[in-house]
Amino acid sequence: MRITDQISVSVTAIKQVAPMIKEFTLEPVDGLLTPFSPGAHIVVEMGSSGSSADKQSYRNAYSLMSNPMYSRQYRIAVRLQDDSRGGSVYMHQQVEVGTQLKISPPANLFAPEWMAKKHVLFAGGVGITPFLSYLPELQQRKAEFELHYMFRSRQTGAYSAELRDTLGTGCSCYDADLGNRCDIAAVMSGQPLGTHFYICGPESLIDAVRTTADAMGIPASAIHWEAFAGAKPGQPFVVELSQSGLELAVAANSSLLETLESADIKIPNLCRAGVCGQCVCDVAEGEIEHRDSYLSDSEKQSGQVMMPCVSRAAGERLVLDI
Amino acid sequence: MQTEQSNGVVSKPVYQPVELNPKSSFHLFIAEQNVTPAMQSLYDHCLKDKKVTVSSDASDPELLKSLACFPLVGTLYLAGTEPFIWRVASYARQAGLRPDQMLMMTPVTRERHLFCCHCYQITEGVTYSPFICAGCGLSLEVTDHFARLHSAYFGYQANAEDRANLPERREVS
Ligand code: FES
Repeated sequence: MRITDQISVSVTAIKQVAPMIKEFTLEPVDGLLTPFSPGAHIVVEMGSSGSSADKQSYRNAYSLMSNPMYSRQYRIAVRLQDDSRGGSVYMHQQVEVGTQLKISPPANLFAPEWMAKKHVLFAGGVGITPFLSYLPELQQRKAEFELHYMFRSRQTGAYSAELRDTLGTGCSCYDADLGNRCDIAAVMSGQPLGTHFYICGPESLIDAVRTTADAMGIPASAIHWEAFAGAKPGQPFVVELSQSGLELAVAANSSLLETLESADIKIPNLCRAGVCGQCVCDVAEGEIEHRDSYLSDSEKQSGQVMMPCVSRAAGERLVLDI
Repeated sequence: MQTEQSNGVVSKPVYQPVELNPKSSFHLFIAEQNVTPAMQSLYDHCLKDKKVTVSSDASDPELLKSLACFPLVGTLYLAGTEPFIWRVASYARQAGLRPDQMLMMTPVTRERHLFCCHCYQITEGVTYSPFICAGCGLSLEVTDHFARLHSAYFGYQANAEDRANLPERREVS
């Protein structure tokens, strides 16, 4: 199986797990699903079966939140995003029990560091999902861990009651709508040697933990995070493919990668968030607005490569060497 | 003459100049036998909580104890021969230290430990290739493939097709 091969699944259950979050259970249309490891995600293609008037299709990455020891079905949780872009509106409004979706095989860019003596997990809102797949294995291995879960109960906060029940003091919940805040520095200070920290949540949370770690002198390699920000909208532009001469218009709320994919150009990709490096493309001409965290500064300055999953043209036109 | 390409894998560590980590609140300096001048100067400039341990043996119980109670926010500085530095690093790793909190100073000699892939013995004090294995007596080609777990370079029978016709001796750095 190549990483660009897709699997057809059908939605067998939908649950509203928080005011803004729905949980979807996915089962294969035929055959078996691939096993996965804690922290793995899939890319869900959305909107492709929509009406022809609205041919826009999205692909978003979602963490698998089900137990990795049980891969008969996959479960994902989708938060309704407020920005115009993104397929979460489609998932929330169009997808019903019985809907068929195309997904990528699971990939993992956020696996636990099993050498760790202790795991400290920071989850923000729907960022709880990858940790739900960590927990069964952490418990099975009798690993030492703490979960710090921050949310706003008017929007998110899925599974917080269950987590408190099953984990007891292993889980601290902070509901900002009740005025509870997590003191990140207090959580991080005094942790023993061999502690690893994991963050899944909004960029502000990732930044807060990384800045705190840096100020305290915690080694950077002990901090792991998964950005689920994905592509953000930008100015529309035209992309030309030098090898075929093809010209495509990239709309304001589509990513370059999505535009290429809707023209049936297959580009390897895993994270769709500018971190894994899979989707790298050679650029022949045009100014680039780099938005990834994969390329080095000198590669960015060279203007010869870009990550089309998140980055865009800085001007009106870009020529890719593909 | 054997060339570098014949060695295949190159994983010889590269040592950068070491500076104090200004973020760390604890600094542990471990040296083999003597504190080197470079380490001494780092130690003298360090105004935070600091400690020096000198030992000729990487598995010294004192040394292991200082690793076991090492804080998450500390930095470890290592000086000595390459095998000593990496052996301490491997204990440190088991204790939970991250590679980015261990700073290795350029080894005090260029002598290598050589791991024989035929008899699994380690030969010490290797400065040229081929080198006679202290375990089985074969003439070993000394590669630049450094095994971090063994703190030694990988060695195999030089010119295995025609052992009587050994490659010219070359210095290894
Ligand atoms: S898909 Fe991972 S960097 Fe673009």
